[in-house]
Amino acid sequence: MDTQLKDLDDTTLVAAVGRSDERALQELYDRHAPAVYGLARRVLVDADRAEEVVQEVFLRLWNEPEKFDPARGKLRSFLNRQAHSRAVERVRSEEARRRREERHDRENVGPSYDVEIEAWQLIRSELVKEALDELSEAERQAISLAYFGGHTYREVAVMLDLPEGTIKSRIRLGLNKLADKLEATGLGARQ
Amino acid sequence: MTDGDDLQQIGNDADDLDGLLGAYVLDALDDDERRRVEEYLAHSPAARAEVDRLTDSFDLVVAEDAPEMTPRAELWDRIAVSLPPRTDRLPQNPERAEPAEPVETPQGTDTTEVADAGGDELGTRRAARARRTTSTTTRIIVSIAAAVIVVLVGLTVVRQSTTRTSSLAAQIQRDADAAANAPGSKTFTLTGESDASVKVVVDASGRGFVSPDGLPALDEGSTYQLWSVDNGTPVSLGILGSDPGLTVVATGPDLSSMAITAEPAGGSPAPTSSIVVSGTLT
Repeated sequence: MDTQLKDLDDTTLVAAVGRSDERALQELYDRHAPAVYGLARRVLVDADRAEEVVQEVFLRLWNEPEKFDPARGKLRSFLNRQAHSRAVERVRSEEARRRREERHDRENVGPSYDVEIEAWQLIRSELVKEALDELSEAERQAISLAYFGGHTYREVAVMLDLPEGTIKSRIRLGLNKLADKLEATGLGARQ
Repeated sequence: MTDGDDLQQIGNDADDLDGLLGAYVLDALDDDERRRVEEYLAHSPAARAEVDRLTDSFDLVVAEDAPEMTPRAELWDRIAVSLPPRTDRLPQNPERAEPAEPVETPQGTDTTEVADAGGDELGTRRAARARRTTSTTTRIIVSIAAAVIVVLVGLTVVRQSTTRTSSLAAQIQRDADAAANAPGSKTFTLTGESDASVKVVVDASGRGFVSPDGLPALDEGSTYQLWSVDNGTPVSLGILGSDPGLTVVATGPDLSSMAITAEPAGGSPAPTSSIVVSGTLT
């Protein structure tokens, strides 16, 4: 009868989770955990910590299924946002700890550009690549450091030694360019 | 400060907050700024629309640049054993509240609201959880849940799904309305000796929308349960609660007859009471 669960859409399954249906949660886990885990690994790298994020995300879905509003978008996006937010919390708390520990040695607390260098290398979709090509290198860098590096725009500004306003603008402008391009190609528009 | 100054200040704030929308989409704000942006979004449809649009397109990029990876197989087991027992949770409907003590349920049928009875492995895990010592935190949660139940009963603000999952309930209502008018849907009308009349609309994908009308509320220790009775052997299609509202269950597309019985809370692997209502395809 599990084939029946597989036939149900995400919204119906979340409603079943609201009725404490564990098998509905497991079906949602089977569908979405690989994406949630992939994103958590992308930000955190470490497998154990990424799994902690996955666990938190699905536990929260179990405890607060009403937080998912189907009118606001797909469940995958909702879960990814939660995963990213939790991954970033970990990055930031670790950075804060490291800064405290290394306060006496500020010069060595330079930014890591690994994230920025690695970003976008995995993209296979030509449409997404073309959309990213619309961005200037500076916009790509700001978005990548903020999202995949888990930094606030203020931190990115410090890392790049640029005014905060410049980074804010680059991020917003870059994201709008992505949206324009992807919508023009038929992707990106809601529903 | 004059009114004009106030308006200008509000305009400046909005400009500042608009400037943060991109960083908000990327989770790149500090906590204070994020709160300000979220307050702003609640009142600015244009800003909300921009955030939704940027989020949708950036999701596509994320999906590409953070490809899916399979977590270790044991992760689900870790999650499953960490789930609070269902008795810790706020009920959708006060009448569906169950006793605060963990309840051993028969053969894993307590979560059969979507699928039918079964799942021995889950039953075992759930029983293991139920045997765990109740922690202080759990007791506090149960106390809070009990308090909420009392308040809800007091206010008689009772309608299934509207307490915990109002937006989902709205979505299910829309789906139910759509199913009722869809060409491939089938309708069952279940009746019995009472005035109750339960309509079940099964759409082409096999989702069944159960609209109970006139089923009397049961006591807290009981639940209505829906069965298919096609082949002589009743198969559970889901538990409906003690005072059910609109509920969606997975029925499969090929049923021809259904029945509802009253069962102990958590449901039964097979009916233990006489049929309350039953019916066939109409």
